[in-house]
Amino acid sequence: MSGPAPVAAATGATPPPVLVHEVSKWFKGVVAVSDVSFRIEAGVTALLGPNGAGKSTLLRMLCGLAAPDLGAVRLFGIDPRQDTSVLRYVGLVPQQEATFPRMRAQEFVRLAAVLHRVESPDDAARAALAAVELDPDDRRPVDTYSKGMRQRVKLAQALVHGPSIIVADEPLNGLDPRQRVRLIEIFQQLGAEGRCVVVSSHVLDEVERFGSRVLVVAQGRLAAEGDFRAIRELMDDRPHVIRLRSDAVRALAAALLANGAVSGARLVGDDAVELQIHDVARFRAWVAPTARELGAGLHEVLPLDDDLESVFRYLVGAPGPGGVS
Amino acid sequence: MTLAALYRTILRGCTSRARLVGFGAVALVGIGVAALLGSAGGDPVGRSAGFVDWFGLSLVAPVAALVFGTASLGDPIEDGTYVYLWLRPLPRWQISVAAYLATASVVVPLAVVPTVVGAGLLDRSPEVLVGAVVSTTMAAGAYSAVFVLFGQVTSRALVWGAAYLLVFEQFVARGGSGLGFLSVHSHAVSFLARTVDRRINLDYFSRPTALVVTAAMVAVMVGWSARRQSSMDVA
Repeated sequence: MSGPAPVAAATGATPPPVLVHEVSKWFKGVVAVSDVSFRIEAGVTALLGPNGAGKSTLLRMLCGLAAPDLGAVRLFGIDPRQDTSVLRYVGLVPQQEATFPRMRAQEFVRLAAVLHRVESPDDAARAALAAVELDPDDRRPVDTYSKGMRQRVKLAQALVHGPSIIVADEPLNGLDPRQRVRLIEIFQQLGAEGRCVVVSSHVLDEVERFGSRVLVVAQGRLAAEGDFRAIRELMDDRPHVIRLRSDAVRALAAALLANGAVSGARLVGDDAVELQIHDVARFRAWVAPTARELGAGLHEVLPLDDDLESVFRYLVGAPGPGGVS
Repeated sequence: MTLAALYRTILRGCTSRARLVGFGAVALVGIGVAALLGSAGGDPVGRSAGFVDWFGLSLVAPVAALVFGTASLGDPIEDGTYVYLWLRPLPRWQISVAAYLATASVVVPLAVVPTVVGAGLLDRSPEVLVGAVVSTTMAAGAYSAVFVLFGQVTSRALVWGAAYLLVFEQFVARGGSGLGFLSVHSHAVSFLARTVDRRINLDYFSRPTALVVTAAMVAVMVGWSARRQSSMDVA
């Protein structure tokens, strides 16, 4: 499954594999994507965002499945809505689970090979299925497969023609841990081969394991882009709110305020306080020793804003896109 | 090769066992009714043409085309598998042509065979058989093109398609030759009436007109579907 030469090689120009320029899309007055611009080069890029953030709409526009209302999408400098020939460089793993009824995996992947005019579609289908560790001779129809197996069949049909751009919409959804690890390895390998791999996810830890460049999308806007570690640091650097329960909550909060581990405190009832924290590491280092010094029991230390939605809300409020890269 | 692959995939998708069994049952009922009508007296050619009109042209051809035609593109669009046909480096008109061919290749035999068998039970003259074969093929072919387009451009295509059959074909088009010019049924029944040399309701047109307009309807509907492929958004 070697990737074909990019279109740019023939023209002498060097347009990026994926260029999204000032793209907006709305549905019946509701803005799904707003003024998003980015470019994606070879390697794995993760599109991270909560459900409903606009990731799937962006990916659909990126492949040409949907037309932007404003702006432009180019694959190797070509508009995929206007020139379908560029789709020979694209492999999509869509989010929806459905496959053609009563069709075996080998038939399903072979169909993709035929429609991409691959020479020896039978051999290509067998190779693609083997690459995702599925049996090409399995007689069962794909619609009887487990979710994990169906995901791999979908990946096989996306890889069968050796595309340069691989787009996967939430490909790890519903997979067990072993299948996740295997699929992540495959995506990393494809990226290492010089292909442009775009993977969307709403799970922060999944994206971390891709260990790659990240585009963070929230409320239809590009909230941040860059190396994952930089974004993670930004997330860790933001003010956090933690609820602390103790039998000496006032004394403990006062001590933590005094030594600078927290920047604000709000009592909630008799045994709880919500602490505002800027330096999570410092707080972690101080909270237990301080409680021990005071002879106070620690009953609960609960982050109240560690979910992704909170992180994204913070990022949306942070300085504009590109600020992290 | 890509057209053939698209054709096979769409045909396989829209022909479920339940649908085929259902229309097989309808065919048997139609033939049974024809057998019963055969024992009645009167003009056998007129009775045979009447059977072709109500069973073939008004019932089996439009309803089979509605069911299979709307499913050909409508089902994959609905369940999200359309992306596996659409996002490929091929001319998108092939999808529309393949969908039409797949629909017509199942609807035409499903409509023509029981209609001709039933008509033959009532009268076996060559005019009746030719009229039954050609007019039912015209109706099945044209309705197939109409409903492939319905499945592509509308959600709830079955409902809209049924409304089209009941409101336009069965009601509005009966308003005269002007409105009838846009009716598939009028052209098919005109061909039948001229061939068997009997008057049938809505037989406004000559045989050449009926044939040409029916072919033009197919071309326009398939062309419209093909053109729509490039501008549509796919889920």
